[in-house]
Amino acid sequence: METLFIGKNMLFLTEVESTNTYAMNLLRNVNAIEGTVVYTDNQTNGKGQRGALWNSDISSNITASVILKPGFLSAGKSFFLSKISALALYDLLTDILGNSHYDIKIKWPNDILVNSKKIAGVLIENTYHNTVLQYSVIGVGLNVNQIEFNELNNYAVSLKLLTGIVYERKQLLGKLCTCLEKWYLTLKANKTDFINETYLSRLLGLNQHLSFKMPDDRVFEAKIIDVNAEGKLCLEMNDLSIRKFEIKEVQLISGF
Amino acid sequence: MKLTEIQDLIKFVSKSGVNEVELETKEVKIVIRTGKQAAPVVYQTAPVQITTAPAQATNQPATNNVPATQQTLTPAANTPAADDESKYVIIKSPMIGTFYRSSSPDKPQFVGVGDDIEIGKPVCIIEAMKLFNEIESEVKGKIIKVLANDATPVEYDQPLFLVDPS
Repeated sequence: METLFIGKNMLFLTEVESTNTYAMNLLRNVNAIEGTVVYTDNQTNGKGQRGALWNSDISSNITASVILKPGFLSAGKSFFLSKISALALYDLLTDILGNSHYDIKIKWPNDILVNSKKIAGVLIENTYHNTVLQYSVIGVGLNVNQIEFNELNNYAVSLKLLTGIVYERKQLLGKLCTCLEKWYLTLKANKTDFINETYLSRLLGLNQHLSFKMPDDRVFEAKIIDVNAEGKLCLEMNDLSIRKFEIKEVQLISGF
Repeated sequence: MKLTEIQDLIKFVSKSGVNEVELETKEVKIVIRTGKQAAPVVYQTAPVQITTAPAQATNQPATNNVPATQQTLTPAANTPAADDESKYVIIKSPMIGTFYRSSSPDKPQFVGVGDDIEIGKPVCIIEAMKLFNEIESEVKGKIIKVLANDATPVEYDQPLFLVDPS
């Protein structure tokens, strides 16, 4: 492992409900060291967005959680954990796939798409004490060798489906640790402008006029101009006013 | 932004009569709150009334101090007398987000009224931008009242739980 701390301590579980939940319990009970990675071949109740599930075939993909202790990060800046996780996955995929034949994009806030289909997702759980971020568990799901997504075939893709190659997952996980550590150290060095610029340059739909849907099914056109420090999507509306949206307030429905 | 500019801004805000001003530029984000609403939670004698100040009062004059929510706390049988109210501690939200009382919809609540909690005990989750933030108690004591509803938006510094530390 070519890292300083992420992945130095690896914990493999043949089966677990959720690597994130396991990692959170680990932190509560034994105070696991920073950089500890929990991964499994069979996540039986993986978490997506609250209530949603992350489904993954047994022994096919990467389902892992990384324990970090970003006490240096103020509550108002915690969205940077989301940005650097997406950037690390992007770097990993660029490294594996190369840039030429594949269109790799970050879909706000932190899904990774290749050729318009979702290949990876991130779910982050933080713990606060006295308004200070104690620790952060970065849960990552990456579709590697799975070739059947059933009703999600039009929306999901794996590395194997893209290239035909069967990948050694442990090796990919090691590379992911390297990529994440690089971006985590960038954040720790407070290079937030660089993180923002890189995130935006890789963002799906930046500076394009696209269609969005509101929770009441109203559809409108707007241009993505930024993702601010809080993580909100900043849109330039048709009348040139700028509006900021939370995740549940808007959904991108074109452009991918 | 220069220090003198910030000083001028503070002077301007304090004279203007507004309660809170939030300013965000490329480099900095400044929130100025005037002392007019210093105590967001006001306690009165029994029946105890908890008055939560409006959280986004950005342009309201102080005189127009309309509480956003008013809740009447019915004292439980074992609630200490009203003159003990001041010793209660409030757990507040460290961020803007959605308040959840359980880790996921199928899981039991972290805490309920009457529960004894230790320092470091998770009491709720605040979800903000797909980040799930577990909030640990800073105090040891008994939960007297839950001050926000499950799955509803909460503001920065909004009171979430009332705890009797004795």
